[in-house]
Amino acid sequence: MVDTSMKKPGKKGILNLSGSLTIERVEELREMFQNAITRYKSLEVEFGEVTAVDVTALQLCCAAHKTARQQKKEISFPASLPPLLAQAVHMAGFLRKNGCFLEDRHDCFWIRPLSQS
Amino acid sequence: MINEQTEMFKEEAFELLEELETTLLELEKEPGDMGLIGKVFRALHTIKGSGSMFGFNEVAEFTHEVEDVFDFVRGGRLVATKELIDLTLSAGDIIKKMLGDEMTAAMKAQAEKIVTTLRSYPGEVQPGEEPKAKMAGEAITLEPPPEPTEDKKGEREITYRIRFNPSLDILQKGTNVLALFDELKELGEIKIVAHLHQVPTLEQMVPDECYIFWDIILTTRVSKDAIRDIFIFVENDSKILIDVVDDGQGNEDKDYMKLGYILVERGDLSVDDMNKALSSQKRFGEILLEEGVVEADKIESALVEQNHVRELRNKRQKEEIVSSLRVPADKADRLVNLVGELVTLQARLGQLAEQSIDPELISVSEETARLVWDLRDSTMGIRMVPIGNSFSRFNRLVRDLSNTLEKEVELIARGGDTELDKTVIERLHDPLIHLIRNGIDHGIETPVERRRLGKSPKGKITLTASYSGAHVLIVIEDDGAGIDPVKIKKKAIEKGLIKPDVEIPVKDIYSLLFEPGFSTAQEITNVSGRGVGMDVVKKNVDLLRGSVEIHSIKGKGTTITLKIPLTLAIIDGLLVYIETEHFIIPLSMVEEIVELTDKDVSRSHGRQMTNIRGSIVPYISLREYFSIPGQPPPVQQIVVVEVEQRHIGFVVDMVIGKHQTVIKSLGKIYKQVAGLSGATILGDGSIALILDMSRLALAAEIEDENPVKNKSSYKSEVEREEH
Repeated sequence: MVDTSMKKPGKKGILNLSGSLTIERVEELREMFQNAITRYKSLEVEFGEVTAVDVTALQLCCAAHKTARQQKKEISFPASLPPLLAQAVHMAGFLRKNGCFLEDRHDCFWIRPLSQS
Repeated sequence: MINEQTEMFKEEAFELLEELETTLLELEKEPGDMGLIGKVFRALHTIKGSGSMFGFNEVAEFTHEVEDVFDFVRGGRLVATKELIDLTLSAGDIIKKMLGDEMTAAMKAQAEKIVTTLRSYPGEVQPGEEPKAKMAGEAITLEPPPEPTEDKKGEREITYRIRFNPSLDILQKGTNVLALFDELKELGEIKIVAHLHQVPTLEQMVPDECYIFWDIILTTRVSKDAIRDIFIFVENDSKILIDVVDDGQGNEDKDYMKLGYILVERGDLSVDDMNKALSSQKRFGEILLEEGVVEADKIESALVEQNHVRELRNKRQKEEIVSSLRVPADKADRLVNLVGELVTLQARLGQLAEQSIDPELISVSEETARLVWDLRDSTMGIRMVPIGNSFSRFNRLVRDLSNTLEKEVELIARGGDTELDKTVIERLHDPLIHLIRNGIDHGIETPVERRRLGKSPKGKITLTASYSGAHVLIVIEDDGAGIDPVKIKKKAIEKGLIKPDVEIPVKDIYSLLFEPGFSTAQEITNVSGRGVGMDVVKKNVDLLRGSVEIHSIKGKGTTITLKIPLTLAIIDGLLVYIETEHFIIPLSMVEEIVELTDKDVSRSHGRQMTNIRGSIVPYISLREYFSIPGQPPPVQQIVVVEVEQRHIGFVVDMVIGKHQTVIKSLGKIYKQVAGLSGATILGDGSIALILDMSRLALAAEIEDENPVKNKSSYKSEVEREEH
């Protein structure tokens, strides 16, 4: 079942991720991210109904972020995450106050208040 | 001495019983929480042990029966079911009665019944025998004993730093890291920080490999080995370092290590780099971030550890302080009284010094004043206790009441660390019980009704305490049916409290609920509806010099706000006089002071009203009210106070100024005099009476409604109100 889609061809794209975001689909998700980052200058990641999440998916989001920055592309995450994803982000210890990029410590998907994680 | 020790034991036992009750109610929500089970067991064990030591054999034997059953729960042989919690709560009630020497025949029978039921729970399991429940019914289920994760020796909470650095292929092997963390979370308080800086780009990564490692800070009672057991299936493929960062002994510096030392200790920063960063004027963490000496997530992780341990040590220190202040209340009261005398004496010294020209005397007086004020504040602080303990007692009330009324109600308490005078908290207990009862009985609807109305089937009662100047606001809020003002008005008309044709503002309609015997309940239940609640609430709050206000929206809920002074013993007052008599007006109620000239009086044509910046404020002359002979001066002063959100003026000859007022109670003979709440001794040894503004305001209202009545008649109305 393909429950991950891309919309709005052109300069700005939206990558909608839903369903099970786990190791079984991580290769497929990587391709989706790679294609979307290559295709659009600015990419917005959206989440539909997420039914499962594991560490591979969270790690992949970080990799996508690093890739986009390397290619000088913009990528953004929603301010509010679906509950299951928010719970996994919290449980996996991803929440933080400073990001990894030395040149911009505020550019990180995981800088968010605990309650809105 | 023996009596003193016995009293000490009783006091401690009552506290433990409170704690037991709170823990049992928490356990009801989290039946598998080993921490809570351990807490219940320890409370029972201490009551039993100390009871036996102080000759309370009945208490010790009875508690022993309950403790035995909880030993099985602790060992994983029994589950803390609702039935067992009910039984233990009832046992707690019985122990309270035993301690208070209030056991009746019926209670003794109940105690025996509890013992019989407890004994029917499964006993020791013989070798080879499968554990099984002896008690009838499916309520008790047996489970195999859990893994030996609990540190049997340690009662202390130890904080560990765990660095979990898994192999690249850990995820490919099917390990669910989140489930592993979930298991760790069960052991205690946990903070997890993932190190993400090694995650590569999409092209470089094998997506099912793990590029992350984690730091975990865990505060728990279990041993290092028990933690290692959780990693048992991944330890061959991972580097796992477990270090103790706080051993729970409580003999350490509460500040914990500086960030740099934590990073050096973890091996994330070299000593040279630390010294280099320390030589800069900027904040240490900022330097490391800017320079990129250490990855951001390593700093983040070290800061999480630092904050976690600091919070823990602070909490521990506070607990130690609280537990070391076990002083009988009467001793603390005597100290407060003595300080009160000292405040009075200091006022005399101040007055003498002011009249003197001796600079040394003035200096000594000022120095003494400063010390006395500090002493006063510190002493008053001894009497201040957090209201949270009182709040937690209501959990039981809500639980039992919602069961009786077949309603689902959740009690949410906020601001439990707000501190109030111990006596004030004790006196607030009954009013709060009435208000919570009313909220559940009349406010919260049945689950069926709530569903029909589109509300969650579980109603909410929220208790909130917060500071507001020299007062504490206690707000009791429910999300129930609200109060119907039309119904109240109808009832008030029926009871002859108001006339049918009189229009009354909604706020005043709610005030009718405080009239004695007023109830709109359709039927009288054993919970409420007899109309003996709200007037008692009002009376008790008035006695505390507080106020109560109701706000309600039909269908949405009711909010009742109690405004209570922080303390009862010493207040800041405004000293005024009329002829030769001195009076004190509580300063926290004073809004402003304006002049009243003869001209103003004649312009008002006998109506006791004045216009203050466009607002008409009624006033009463205290000279007339207290029948003080003599002629008022041509320019008097009106002290405008706020009582129950209304402004009322009190006319006096002259305002002297602020006065530290040590409240002394009035003798029996003055009990019937309306408008006085106490007395205080002034610096020159004379007496000043403390005015009861609420009662006097009531007099002003009556005067306002019946301006033709003479002064003595409203005084008698107020007195009648008092009875």
